[in-house]
Amino acid sequence: MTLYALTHSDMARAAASTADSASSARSAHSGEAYTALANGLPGSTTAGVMSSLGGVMEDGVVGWADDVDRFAEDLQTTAADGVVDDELVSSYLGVIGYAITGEAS
Amino acid sequence: MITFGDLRGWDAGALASASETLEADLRTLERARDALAEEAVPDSWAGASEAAAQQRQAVLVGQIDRHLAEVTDFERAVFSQQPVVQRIRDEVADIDTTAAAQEFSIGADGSVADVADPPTFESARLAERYGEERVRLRDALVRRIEDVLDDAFAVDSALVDARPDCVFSAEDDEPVLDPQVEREWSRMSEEERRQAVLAMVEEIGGERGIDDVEVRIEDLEDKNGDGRDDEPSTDSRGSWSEDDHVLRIDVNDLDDPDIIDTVAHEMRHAEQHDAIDDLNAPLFGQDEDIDLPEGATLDDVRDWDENFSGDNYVTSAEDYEGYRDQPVERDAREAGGDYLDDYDLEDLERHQEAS
Repeated sequence: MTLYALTHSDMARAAASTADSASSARSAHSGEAYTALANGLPGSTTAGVMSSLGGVMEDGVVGWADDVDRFAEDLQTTAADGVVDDELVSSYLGVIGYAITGEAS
Repeated sequence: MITFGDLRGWDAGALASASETLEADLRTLERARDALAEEAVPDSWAGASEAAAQQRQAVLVGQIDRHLAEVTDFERAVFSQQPVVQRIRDEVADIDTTAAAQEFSIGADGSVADVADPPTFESARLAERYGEERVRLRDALVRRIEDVLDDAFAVDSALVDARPDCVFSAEDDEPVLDPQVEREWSRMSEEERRQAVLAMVEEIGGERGIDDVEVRIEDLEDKNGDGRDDEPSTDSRGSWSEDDHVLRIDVNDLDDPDIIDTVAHEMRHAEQHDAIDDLNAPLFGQDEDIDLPEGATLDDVRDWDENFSGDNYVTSAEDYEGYRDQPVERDAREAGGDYLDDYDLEDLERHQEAS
């Protein structure tokens, strides 16, 4: 069995940074830009396209941030339990549950 | 379509504002991307679980990188069109000022009307000279209006072309007709449109190896000629008949430039049949030898074969949703949409010249 050298504090920092990444993405609001374009070019095809595009693009970024949050939660679980979440591993490699060695390395 | 009245409301400041917002948005998302790329997987982590986490990280970073690339290109397009929109706005204001000074009025549709009180003249020659001068001034205004609309459609076309795809969505974006194509199509006569469709079919056929196509542009809504729509609940824009290689286009839809989508859609059905013929040719050789239509896999061709076999094909009259959802129609719809989305004024001009 492979042993892992990983500190809980390293993992906690990684989880926090990843959560910050999701939070930062959520603070972006490109929808206003698409609305401005729609308002600034009345009668154009651009205006018609932008009216719906703003919502789609913002929803896409929020969906991405949700995925990043789930990743951060898995990292946080790892940090708290000292055990790599089964799903985190198995969803990509089909490998089931690995224990992480104790505290400091 | 854009009118002269619309241009009075165009606002370069809105483009500047959009550009700044997109720029700020990009910086924010770049920071989010950097935090994820650099800090989500600690250096002290090793083993299979670390590899799994890295894969997950790579997928997320890849998605946001593609999004950033799309939005960056679009922001540059918006930024570069800002001074053009300002010039359009200035020119529109100047045209209005000139028209007012010369006692002409310009309607929202760009029509120019002479609103000067007609003076009295001492001779017919002076009256004629006055009339000629008024026509000259009017025509000069009309030319300026046409020119500024040309510029506006070019801006619109550039921004539509540069619009970002949503990389997070699994669904294909709706195709959008190029505004310059829409405008040019509206100016063409029915005969010119017919000829452009013929040139389109010939070009697509040549590129995709579809030979001996006969194009019939006829009334598909009233096939029995009784003067009434045969099936009012459906809109028959076009069809492909494999038996005799006839592509039919509904003459009632010829004024709609979206018919370009229909032409490509029906030609895709011809390609599907060609691929199926290859698949079933007894002496053709190996499946790998099949000349697959663009974007299609061998499994797609097998699905099409099954779809066209027996009574499997669902007509729109039987079940509209079933019709749209079957493999051959989904594929043809995507092919037609992609063709329309890529079709620009240069393509139309080429088809006009070829006809």
